[in-house]
Amino acid sequence: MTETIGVLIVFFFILVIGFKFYATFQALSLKERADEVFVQQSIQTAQMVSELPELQCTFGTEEAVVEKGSCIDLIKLQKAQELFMNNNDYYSDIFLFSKISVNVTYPDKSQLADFYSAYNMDAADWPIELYSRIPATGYKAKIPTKYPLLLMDAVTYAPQTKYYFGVLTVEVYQPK
Amino acid sequence: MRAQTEILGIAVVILLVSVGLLFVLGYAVNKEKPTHREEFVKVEIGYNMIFAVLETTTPCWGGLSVRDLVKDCAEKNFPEDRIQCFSQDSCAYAEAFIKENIFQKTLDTWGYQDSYSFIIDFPPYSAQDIVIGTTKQGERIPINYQIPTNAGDVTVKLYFYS
Repeated sequence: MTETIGVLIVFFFILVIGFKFYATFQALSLKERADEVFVQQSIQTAQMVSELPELQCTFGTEEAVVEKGSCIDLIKLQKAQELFMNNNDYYSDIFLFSKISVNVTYPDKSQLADFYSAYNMDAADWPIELYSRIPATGYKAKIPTKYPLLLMDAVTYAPQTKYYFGVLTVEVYQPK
Repeated sequence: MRAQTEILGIAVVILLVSVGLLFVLGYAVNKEKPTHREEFVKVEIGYNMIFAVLETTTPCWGGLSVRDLVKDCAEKNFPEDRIQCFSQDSCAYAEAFIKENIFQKTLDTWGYQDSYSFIIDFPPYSAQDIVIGTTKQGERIPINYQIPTNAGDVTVKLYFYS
């Protein structure tokens, strides 16, 4: 009788330890899955931004529009700041908790005098912040991702179009 | 009978331990996944980088793109025949422009210094290849893009080393 009880105790002890292991690993793998989704969100947000019709470089006529990938039209970018701010509810459904900005890498900000007068801008306006929604309750983690892209200036030297080298920075926040 | 029951008990214990070990092994295998995420981010950055570098307007001849300079470099065999930009031929100018204006301000400052190489591979009997960054042996993520020219295809490569 005592032997049977001993065997049962050992059996249940092993069962409990096994279950604890299983629960711990499941919790860890769930956390990893959540992190993965979070990283994917940062990539998707960057891809979405560079492909938004509100920003993307386009050519041609109304009937036949040609889009240029990984390219942001500077005149659209300037107007988009106001557009994003006035339609915050719409964009917050798309970009969730994130901060999106665009900066110019080449030419140097100090060498864009003609561009500033054509666009009525200043060197201090870079980086241009498009969207910002940081969780009010704080955040557990933040993933900043930088994406190289082209910035199209079709205004300053019109009819010639110049392409600058820019960087899109997407910071995605994981709320607490 | 008693001996048989004991063996059955041992078998149950071994089974339970094996199931536990399988979970541990499964978890260890899943831990490899972050590498794939990193790879995905690098491929995305890589393609965008190559495309944006090639289309950027340079000050040479009032607005030639890097792609124009690379094509000129591939198609003309002698430096004196090539486009001259601020006393450099198209090949030397393209290399200096890409290195100083793009890579030194982007990948070098984003934590990728010493872990990437950017290569412009010209067709045989054409210009000397342009190499920016470090060339290493070992595992790497390759991103390739081809530019057709009259001298043959120019391959633009960006490698990220792990």
